[in-house]
Amino acid sequence: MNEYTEGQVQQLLAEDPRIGEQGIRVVRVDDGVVLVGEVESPDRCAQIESVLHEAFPGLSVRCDLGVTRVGAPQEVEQI
Amino acid sequence: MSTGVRVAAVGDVHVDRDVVGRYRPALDELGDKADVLLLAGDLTRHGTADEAHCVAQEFGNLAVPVVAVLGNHDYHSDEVHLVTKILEDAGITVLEQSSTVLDVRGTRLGIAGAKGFGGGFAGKCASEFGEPETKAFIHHTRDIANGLTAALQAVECDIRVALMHYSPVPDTLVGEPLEIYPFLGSYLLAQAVDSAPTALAVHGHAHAGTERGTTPGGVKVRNVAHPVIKQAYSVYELTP
Repeated sequence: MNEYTEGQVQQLLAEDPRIGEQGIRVVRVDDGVVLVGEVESPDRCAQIESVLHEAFPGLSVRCDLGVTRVGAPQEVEQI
Repeated sequence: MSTGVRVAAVGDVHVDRDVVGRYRPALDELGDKADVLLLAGDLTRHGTADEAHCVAQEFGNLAVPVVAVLGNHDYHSDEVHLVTKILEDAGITVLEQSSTVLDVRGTRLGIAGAKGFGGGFAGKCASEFGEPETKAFIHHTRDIANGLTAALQAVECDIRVALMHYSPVPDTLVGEPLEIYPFLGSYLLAQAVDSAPTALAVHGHAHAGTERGTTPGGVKVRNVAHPVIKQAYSVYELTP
């Protein structure tokens, strides 16, 4: 795993039409990458993992992705 | 009983079919919590008509008016006019260097909006110099900032809010890598916000940023990107 692969992973996350994510951080580790961030649905976590395995067979990809909460706010900020 | 105007806002909801329905429980409470909902761009994933229909389904027919600007994701498929029409057909007002005024219990809430663009922040920004591509990049930002300035100055209201996708200040980008700040906003947008007596400036785009900031002129800025606020929307109360 080198910097070029790290760059390719980040470009793929944005440019692959099945993903289109710009807000995910790619963390390089010894044997691969860890993806850190939040997405809008559980399906997207699975999709990202699947596309990366397809594009980079053999690369260890670990997803630390959460689904952003959508609860109603309990507070109002006075401006 | 509060007499202020309650502004709900969220950006970067990136709606597609897999998201439809997720926001609705919180949106069903909106009528009790706010007077208007602002959507700060990146409403879709790729800016397609199909995704816009999903946004319309999720954010249409709410208990309060919905006012939006588009973001860079909404431009990706070069279908901006179609996306805008689909949203407007669902009753969502889409601003681009334009404004709207809402009557909230006798108080005129003016909202001026624009997508914004990048370029960076004062003293560390790109200029209209060199290759045509570089000049076009900054020219686009300057055009939008000028349009937002005109919209903010022209709107007749009691409370003025600026709605953008890109950030007007670096304060709300803290948490993002410094290297990408020029792609996250421009100080020209802050200059636009400060050109009129603006009560609040709202933006999205910076998923790893920070909620709170201030323009050089003292206007409070809030980054309402969904991954930043971590709830369906935030609510801000403004008084004339």
